[in-house]
Amino acid sequence: MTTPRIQHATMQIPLMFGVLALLAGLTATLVFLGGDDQGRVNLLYLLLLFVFIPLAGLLLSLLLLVLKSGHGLASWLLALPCWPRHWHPQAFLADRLSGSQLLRRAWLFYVSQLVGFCLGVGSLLAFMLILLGTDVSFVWRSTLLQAEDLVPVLQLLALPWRFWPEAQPSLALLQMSQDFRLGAQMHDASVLGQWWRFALAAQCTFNLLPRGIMLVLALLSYRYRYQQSLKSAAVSVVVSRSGHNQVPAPGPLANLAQHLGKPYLLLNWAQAAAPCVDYISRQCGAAQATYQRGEAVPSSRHALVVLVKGWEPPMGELLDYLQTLPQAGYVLPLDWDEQGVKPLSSGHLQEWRRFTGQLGGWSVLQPGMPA
Amino acid sequence: MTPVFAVVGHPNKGKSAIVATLAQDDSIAISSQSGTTRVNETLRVSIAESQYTLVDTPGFQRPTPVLAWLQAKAGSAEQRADAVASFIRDRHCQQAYPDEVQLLTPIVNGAAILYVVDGSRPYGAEYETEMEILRWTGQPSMALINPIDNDAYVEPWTQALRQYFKVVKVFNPMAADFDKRMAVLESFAHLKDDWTASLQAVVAACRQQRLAQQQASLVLLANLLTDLCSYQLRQKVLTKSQAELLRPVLEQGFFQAIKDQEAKAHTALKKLYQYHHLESDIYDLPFADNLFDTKQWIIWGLNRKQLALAAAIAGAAAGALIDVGLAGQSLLLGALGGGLLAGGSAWFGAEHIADYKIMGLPVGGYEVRQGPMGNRNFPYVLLGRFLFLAQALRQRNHARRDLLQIEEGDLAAQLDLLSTGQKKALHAAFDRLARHKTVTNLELVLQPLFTPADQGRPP
Repeated sequence: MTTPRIQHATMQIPLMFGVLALLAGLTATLVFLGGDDQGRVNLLYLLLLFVFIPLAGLLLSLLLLVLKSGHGLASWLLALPCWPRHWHPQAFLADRLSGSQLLRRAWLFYVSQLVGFCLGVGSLLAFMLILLGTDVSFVWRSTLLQAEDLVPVLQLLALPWRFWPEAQPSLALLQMSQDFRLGAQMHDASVLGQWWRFALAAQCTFNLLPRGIMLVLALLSYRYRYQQSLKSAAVSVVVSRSGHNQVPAPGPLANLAQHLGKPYLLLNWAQAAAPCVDYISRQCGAAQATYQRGEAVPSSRHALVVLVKGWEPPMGELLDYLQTLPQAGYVLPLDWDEQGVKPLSSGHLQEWRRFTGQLGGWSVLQPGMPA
Repeated sequence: MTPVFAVVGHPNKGKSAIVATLAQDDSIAISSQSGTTRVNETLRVSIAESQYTLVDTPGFQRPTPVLAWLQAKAGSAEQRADAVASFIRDRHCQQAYPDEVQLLTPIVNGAAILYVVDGSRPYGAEYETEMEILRWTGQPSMALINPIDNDAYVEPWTQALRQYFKVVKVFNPMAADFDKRMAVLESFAHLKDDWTASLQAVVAACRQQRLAQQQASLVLLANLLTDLCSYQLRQKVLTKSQAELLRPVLEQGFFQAIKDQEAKAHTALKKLYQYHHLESDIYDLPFADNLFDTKQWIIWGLNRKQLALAAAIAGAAAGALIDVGLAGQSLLLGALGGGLLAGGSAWFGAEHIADYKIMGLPVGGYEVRQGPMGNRNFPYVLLGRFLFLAQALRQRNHARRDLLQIEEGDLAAQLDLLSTGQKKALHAAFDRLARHKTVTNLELVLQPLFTPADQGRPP
């Protein structure tokens, strides 16, 4: 089987959702980072956008995965009534993904992670654009919290990028960036701008990195499930074998005799009824004596004719018996039914000739039959 | 506990064929020459999580002396099973009666007996010796009457076999369809209570597998259609004269690649249905003798009239969108015009196959392109060939060793069985494919053609 190509729609939907998520992330962040009329952006809201919401989304996504509900961002988005008809979750997921629950879940999880990741990328792009194109002042305001309360939380958040000292928060920086809307304060714009490193590191660490890892894992899992689903359809019956037979090479064929022309003894190995014996008498003349299976056939100067059921395969018992006889003779396979004797099929005749060929000097007799 | 069945009987009565059919294994040696099976062949069949074992055995060769040996060993009924066990262990018996030792070994080890006879030939008293030996083993047993040539003697065989076997079934491994195979597997479940659940799981898995095969064949066909309808061969050259010289080479490569891809898909389809050694007489796409002889295409696809009609349906559907867009103010001219235009182009373009184009490159030199296939009948031809192969595979079983004969089918008749909506969707999808556009819901569109007969569609 050629490598299964991921179907168009299963690629179209992630692509479309990815682009939409990128645009949404870009737009939302652009709007948010526009700040107030003085270009001030609330640092706490920024943390909410860059750290807490992405982390909560990620945890929710993992929770839904563990619960095996099959729900997630992707399924909620697909359920919106604005998509083409064949994107409808019922039609699309049931038919396109081979009806496999595991495959469906893997695909939905992958699309959800992609949407989350693209939101983050859009947001990061917007952040970089804003940083490049305008001066952003990061301030924070709170009625309840003081700088001393916030420092440990921010330092804890900044632990993953300790190797980047410029991006670490400090009490002094926090105190300098606290803002009160009523009091006229003088802020040093260059100091307030220093938060961009912290915000960038937070965005990368708590949003893009985990989402990126989840996306790669989700994609790998989906591809694995996809291959598995095709494999299970293609090779779902596994037969393990021991012992092997091959069609044996045909041995020598015995001579075929159409006439007997001499007195003979008849051994009715087939236990055939009188009409068959009469038929042989008509074709070959009456037998000097007729013996039934199991009866001892005396040594004689006459030829021995062994009547067998032509349609039955030759068996070891007959072979053993013929090998005990002192002289060669004729094997006469006949085919008959209630209507009488009928021609032996060529396949059966070949089979008997092969069998008789193992016995030195024996022939197959077919009286009255064309050669 | 894995159910194990030993398939036993006279030589050449179809034991191997029964094993091949039930195990879906087309590599088992089957021949009209008796004595093909000389040693036990054990097939452990796993489907999804369920499994069972079939043992293909040599036929009885010397039942009379074997029964005599057993009778000499066992004085009373309770000693019979032990006598059979001694028989297979006895050195002398192993040499003198190798076939009987082989066939009785799995039974002594716990396998149930499936005794096979030919229902097209008269009952013979000599079979009673074999049945008596089997009865001595004390294992659960069932008789299968295989009507090899006809069913003339099924009734007398049934009467005789009922005296020895609890269950007697008629089963022709060469002709058994899926349902008959499942019916036999289901009847195995009655032989031993311990095996009932396992065998029911096997049957359920087989049915699930059947659906999965259908779904996977749809994926194969959709991929084949999408890939081949948009397939194009390109080559960069320096001059126009080189481009002209390259034309026959590129044409040949193009058609060969199409044939190869189709053959690959057909092989994949056969493997999907577990046929690994099957030859079929489906001939190459009709390009070999005359690349442009599209008249041959009607064997598998549609004829000119049917093709024009299909195109008209697709065109009308597209035109109707314009009518809807204009809120009907176009007085259905969109549908009418679309239908006429598409139908006309199909009629007059019925002979057209694939273009050879020479394109100038901005950086100098030329690119020559062969394809993609420009004939509207092409996707129908691919469909017809794939569909008839799939139908033949579904109806075949794994005991047959003859060439798979694919009848030239009537694709138009198959399409006529679809509902109007399904037909429209199919023609519209194929219209897009013929214009080298992507069809996102191709599998859904093709699905009704693959719905098997037992789900409401004729085979």
